[in-house]
Amino acid sequence: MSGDVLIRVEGVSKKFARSLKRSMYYGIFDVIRDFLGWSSHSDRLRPDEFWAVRDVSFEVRSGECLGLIGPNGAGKSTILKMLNGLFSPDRGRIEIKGRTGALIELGAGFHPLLSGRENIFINGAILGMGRKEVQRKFDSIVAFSGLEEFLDTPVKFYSSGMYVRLGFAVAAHLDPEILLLDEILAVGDESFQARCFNRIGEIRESGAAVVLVSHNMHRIAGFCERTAYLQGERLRYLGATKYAVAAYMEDVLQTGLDASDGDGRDRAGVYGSGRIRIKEVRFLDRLGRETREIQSNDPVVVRVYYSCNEEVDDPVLDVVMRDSAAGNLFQATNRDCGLPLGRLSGEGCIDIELKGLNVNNQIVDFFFAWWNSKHTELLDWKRHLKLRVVGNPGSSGRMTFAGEWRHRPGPHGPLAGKE
Amino acid sequence: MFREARESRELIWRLFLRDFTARYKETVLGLAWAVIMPVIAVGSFIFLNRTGVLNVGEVEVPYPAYALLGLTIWQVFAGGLVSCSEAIMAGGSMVSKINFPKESLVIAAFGQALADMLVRLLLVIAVFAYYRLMPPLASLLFPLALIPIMLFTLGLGLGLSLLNALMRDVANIVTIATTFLLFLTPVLYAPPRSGAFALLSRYNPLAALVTGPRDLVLKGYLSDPGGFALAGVLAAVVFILSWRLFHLAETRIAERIGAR
Repeated sequence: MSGDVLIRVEGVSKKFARSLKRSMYYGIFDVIRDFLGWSSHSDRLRPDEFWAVRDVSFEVRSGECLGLIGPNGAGKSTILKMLNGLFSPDRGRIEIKGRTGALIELGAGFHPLLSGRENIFINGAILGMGRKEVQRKFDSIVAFSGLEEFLDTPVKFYSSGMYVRLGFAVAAHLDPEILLLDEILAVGDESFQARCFNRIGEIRESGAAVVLVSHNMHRIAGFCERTAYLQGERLRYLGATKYAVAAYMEDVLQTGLDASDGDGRDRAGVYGSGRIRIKEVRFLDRLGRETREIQSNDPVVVRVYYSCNEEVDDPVLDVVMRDSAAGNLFQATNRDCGLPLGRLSGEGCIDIELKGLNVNNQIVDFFFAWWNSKHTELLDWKRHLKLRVVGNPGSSGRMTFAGEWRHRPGPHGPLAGKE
Repeated sequence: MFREARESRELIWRLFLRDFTARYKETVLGLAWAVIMPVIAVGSFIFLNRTGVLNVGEVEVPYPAYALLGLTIWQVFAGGLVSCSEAIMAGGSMVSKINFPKESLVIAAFGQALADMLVRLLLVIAVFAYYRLMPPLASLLFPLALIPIMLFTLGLGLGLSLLNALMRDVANIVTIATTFLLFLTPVLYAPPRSGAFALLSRYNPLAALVTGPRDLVLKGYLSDPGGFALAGVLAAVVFILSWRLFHLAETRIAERIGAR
């Protein structure tokens, strides 16, 4: 991994204007200033401008894959565009050595009326391939796209899948020394996706420097040795992917907690008829201490304190757990879980024991509601009680499992299915 | 700048071919459209002249030949300028997403105007043959004499295409302005010899740029070599400045066009 430095980014900043009109005027001013040779790369922000990227530096060597992660608006795509030469930085320097290929905007310049064959040449030329180069790679491009039968059909009759397949096939044959990826574009059906992955792999193997922007931490962890974590237009962390991802996940989970009232106690306004009140909800770890954060698969007890203003016959406690994607993870009532309550009066608490929460790197949002026996009257509810569940930072997905992986080498007996 | 232009030859050619073939693909009349416009324009002028509504002045050859030739040269400018100024916006998302020399789009768009001109020249030749006019030997220099108007158009077109990316008004202004300029330039009428109009066409570089090549074909010599040379120099200056401006501005423009 100690090839030549192909990408060098030094103290790069980029600003944008918020409003369309201002952006137009600044654009015109900047062009005039450039033309007259005045410096327009001022450090100051003009009214309505903001920094999209601020003072970012990194290097990518031949054969290396650098990940770019961060929340939306952190400047990841802007950096890719600057690397691609589409944007020029307002401050700092970018050095690029080699042919740059970007797998974004597949099928640029395709003309709907022209055939696939003609469009391969057009798209190739736009991406910077000469006629000879396209001719040399033509068969390979066609084979890759798998569109032999439709080569002479105008692309306007292509399905959207066929369109991107042709676009990817051309772009993938650029043989770049620097490859820029905004999310790994796995397009088309499964077999085509596999080809996409392998093609990207080949380009990496050939010694290209790769920059990958992704929100999929698993993919980042799998592809990239080093990762840059951008947050609030600045570089927060640059280094081993493991630590960058951990730092990012930490911040994501933290903002998730900060964004809401967290403990739910502030939402103590009166909801429902109030015949039963939810006084408080606590999360207790295995030692019975109150906690707001557990590890995946750790046991936790959710304790719901109630107090009755009057006797209620066979009330129902409805519990919902949601994850950050606002999908229901689980919903059930005490009845569903085999705990009919009968006549309830006075005070007490209900313990919901979770022997292991199989949730991966999520903030679990708890909702509680007391209903009357027939589910016709809402007595009280408490919403958005958050429990942070920390999982394996290298994994992605919402769910996880207790257990371990084992490797057992040696011959295996006859297997069912085809050999 | 020059290296980039050479390297993008292939791209320009591809873009030109793409637009050229696509333009006529879904039409019945196809290339004939290139000649229909001048025929109608010249036809209406003949009509106006015959009915005495308008006096086109004395020309040395039959009027249809004169006007068609003039209009063919004029359309290199007018048609070229219109398609050039729209070229970048017509490029769509590839302009803001892919890094390639953007002048290719403009030059390819200008190519459309040249292709139209070649088709129209066939019509001009046919009309000349009909009137049994034999152009002088000097008309072989006609293509060379077109270079100034081509440079002038391309120069303006490069600048306007960028401006149009920032302000859509530009394309509308260009369409109106070229129509208007047609009447200020001796294309469909003989060059005025006296009065304020004569003065105007003296200082109108387009008048010189159109008259020059036309003189070569009709007379075999330039009636105003000084004016033509001056206009030629002006055209070259406009072209070089505009190209330079385009180079400085293209990334800025791509930024302003935005991400999506």
